Amino acid sequence: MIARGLLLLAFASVASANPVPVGPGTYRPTFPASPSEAAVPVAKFWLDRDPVTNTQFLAFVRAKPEWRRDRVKQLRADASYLAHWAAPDALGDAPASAPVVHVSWFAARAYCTWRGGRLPVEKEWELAAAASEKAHDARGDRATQDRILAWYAERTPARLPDVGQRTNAWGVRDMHGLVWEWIEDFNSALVTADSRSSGDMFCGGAAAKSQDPTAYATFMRLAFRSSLEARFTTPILGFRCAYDEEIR
Amino acid sequence: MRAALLLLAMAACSSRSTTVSPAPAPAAKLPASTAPSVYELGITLRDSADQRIGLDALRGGPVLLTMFYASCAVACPAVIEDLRRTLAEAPPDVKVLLVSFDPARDTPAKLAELAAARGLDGRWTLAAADDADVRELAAAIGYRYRKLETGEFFHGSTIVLLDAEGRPLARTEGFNQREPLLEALR
Repeated sequence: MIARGLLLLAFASVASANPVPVGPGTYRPTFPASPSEAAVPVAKFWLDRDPVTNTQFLAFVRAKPEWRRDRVKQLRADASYLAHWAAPDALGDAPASAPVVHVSWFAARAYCTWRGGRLPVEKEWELAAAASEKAHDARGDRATQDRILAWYAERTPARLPDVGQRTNAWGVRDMHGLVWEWIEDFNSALVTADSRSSGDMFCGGAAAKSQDPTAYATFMRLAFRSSLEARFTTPILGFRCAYDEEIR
Repeated sequence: MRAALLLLAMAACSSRSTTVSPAPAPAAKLPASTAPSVYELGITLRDSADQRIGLDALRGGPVLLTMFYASCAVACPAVIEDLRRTLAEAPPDVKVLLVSFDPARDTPAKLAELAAARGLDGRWTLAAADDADVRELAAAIGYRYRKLETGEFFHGSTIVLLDAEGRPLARTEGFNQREPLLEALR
């Protein structure tokens, strides 16, 4: 009985991501894809407080062995999937409480489904990410934006820090400063009725708007996401899950 | 980090132009692709005859795969016309698979109606899939779309040529881009 209790406790500490409520709010894209998308309502949702860690992802891989790096289908993850782990089912020197990286969109999505959630969509992620420690919408706050841009310019550390570095006004941690994150609709950005016009904006036009640090940070995220394919894995890209209802 | 990002962004820009991979073999036989098969997704579709079919229902021959939605007024009819002209010049075993990303509205009856209205014959398969599956398929083939609050969609015009095993052989973006597809089929 005690052993079972301990086991449950251990499971809770591994699997629980302490989702926190975010919203409702209004997402105002820096680059609306169309006039009708200038102000997008976002319903209240729950977002993992922290990015998913190596330990948490290991629990998933053990429960769902088809997501081991030696068994995953090539279509769903490229060759560097979980390459930072010592073995397909062991972290080795990979930091246990740091965000998991080297994960594909397919793998991130499967993890969130396993947890009873889903990946956040862009409007949800950006709503949560617009907050500073004090304000829900800090996109006009020069100091906050400068800090985000300073992080974008930094070299990724060889060893990622643990999650929980910085908490924002929603109670969500590390939206900026640790890793980039997958979103459900990473591949829907910059799609307009005429793909050529979005291409111009993407490849040349955005430079003109880079004077505004908010626009530039947002543009960096758009550019990064647009460059991804669903099976890509990289050392700077992790994820966290979202939920439509509170989960325990 | 910035250098890596810029490289990725530049790669995205250059990949906007039409690419064909690998180079088509000189033989009449379809070249084998080394890309992973889209059929690995294991997605189930519902076709215009209200039958549940696998995404790999057309396995065994080359397939032109794209996505669409039936109430699309301009872009999708243009893509269908492009595909019709491609088929006219392609070997007879080439088939078309159109997967709707609007499953709520694109019922089997609606798809059948569209096929009849456009005169699409047995070389065409029109089908829809659940939202989650549609997004997986779109992600796997690099098809971009987004649903607007109005219920309409913005979407790309990617067409992917799959080999007999579902591996991508060639892809095109934009209208009137038949040549890369036909070349890969030669």
